[in-house]
Amino acid sequence: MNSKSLMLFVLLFFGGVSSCCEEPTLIYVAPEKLITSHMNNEGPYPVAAETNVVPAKAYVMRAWIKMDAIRYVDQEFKKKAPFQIGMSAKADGCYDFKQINEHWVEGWDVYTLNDFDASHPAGSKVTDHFELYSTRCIYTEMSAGDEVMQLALYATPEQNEQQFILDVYFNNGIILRDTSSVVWLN
Amino acid sequence: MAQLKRLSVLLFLCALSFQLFAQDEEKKWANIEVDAGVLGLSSFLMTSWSPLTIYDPQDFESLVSLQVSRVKEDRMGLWLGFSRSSSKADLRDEAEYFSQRLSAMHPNDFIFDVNDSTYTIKYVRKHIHFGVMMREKLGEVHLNFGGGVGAYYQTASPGLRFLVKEQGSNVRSEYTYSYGEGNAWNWSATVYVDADMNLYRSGKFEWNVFGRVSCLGFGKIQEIEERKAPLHIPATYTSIEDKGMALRTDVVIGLRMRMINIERWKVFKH
Repeated sequence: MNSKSLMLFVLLFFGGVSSCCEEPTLIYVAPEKLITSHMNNEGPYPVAAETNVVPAKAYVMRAWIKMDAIRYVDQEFKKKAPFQIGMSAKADGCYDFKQINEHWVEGWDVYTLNDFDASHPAGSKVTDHFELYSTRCIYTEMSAGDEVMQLALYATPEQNEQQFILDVYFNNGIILRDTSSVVWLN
Repeated sequence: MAQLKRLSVLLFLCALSFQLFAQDEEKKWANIEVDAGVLGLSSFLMTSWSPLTIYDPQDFESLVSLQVSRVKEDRMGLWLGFSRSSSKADLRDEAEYFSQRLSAMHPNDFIFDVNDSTYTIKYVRKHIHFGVMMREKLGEVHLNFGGGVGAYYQTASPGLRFLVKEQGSNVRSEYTYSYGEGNAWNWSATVYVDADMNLYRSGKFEWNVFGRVSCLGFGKIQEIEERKAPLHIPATYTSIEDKGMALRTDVVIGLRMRMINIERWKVFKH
């Protein structure tokens, strides 16, 4: 094989490789909504509470962080697939689009709307009574899809009826807030 | 044990000095040799006196070694060696052992094994050892037999990890078991046999290829640390005694530089 045919071969090879996949459309997602719910952690794992009555020492608040997948999509692509999320792989292994998330959780606070105990009256912050229970570390990495935080309660309130407000802070200044439904913590 | 390491070096240097002073009467050959093992493998052979099976026979892993020897005809020579070896161990048996231990401690709770599926622990050991040796000539091949004592330092990572969740509450504790991390120096004993053959000679220097098989016995790590870390309380530590002895075999192929008839060199003449 002489040098010209070698050069032709190399050009054809790299030409073929580079024309294999088109650049996928990049979709930049952002946290859009926070939805809280109650969980019961008496068993091995926290599960959705069947009623609004949960033992205090096994109470876990679930925080669903819903990602907005179409906020930064170019309009042409939005017309084609306005509500799809995630990566779309075609039969040839190429991607139509890819989601990119540049947000992560920097912190969170829980407030009570009822008297919790003597040092935590209604309207005060009770963050110190909760701990992040999820094993996944959302402080350093978040997927491009929806995320779930689990916040476990490590205190027993003096008043059973409780309602919490959860604030979640993200790195880019976004703050999401949700008010939970009423829960009775026995 | 840090003192043991210094003492080992001191003893070797003293013995070497005595040999150098005594060499006026030496009429036969005496060589200084430096060898480096470049292709090394290390593996565990067996363990004993241990409640755990941490030193089960394992796959061969890497080994590098460096040795300085003073060899005399028809007399005992001296050697000083350094080696660094790594090996892996399978922790499935240990995981079962600690799982049962935790089940006994927490009969009504939930125990989660949070190690990855490989259950592999990797050890790195650094040995410093010295001893005596004899040489036999079999035609072009030198057969060397050596034995000695020394010290080793071991590090290991990662250990086993368990999560215990209390039934009926959010309380979780993490138990981790560390093997030899931050371990102190411990004793070791070595016997070896090696053979070398000349590749090239230039004046007083001779280059050889050698192959060595060593068998090392060493003190097992003294204790395994059980660390309990609840979410709200500072972690607590419990030591689990796991004394014993282990045997290891090393196989190494390398290059040996021989300085021939060292006692006739001007620098050694009085």
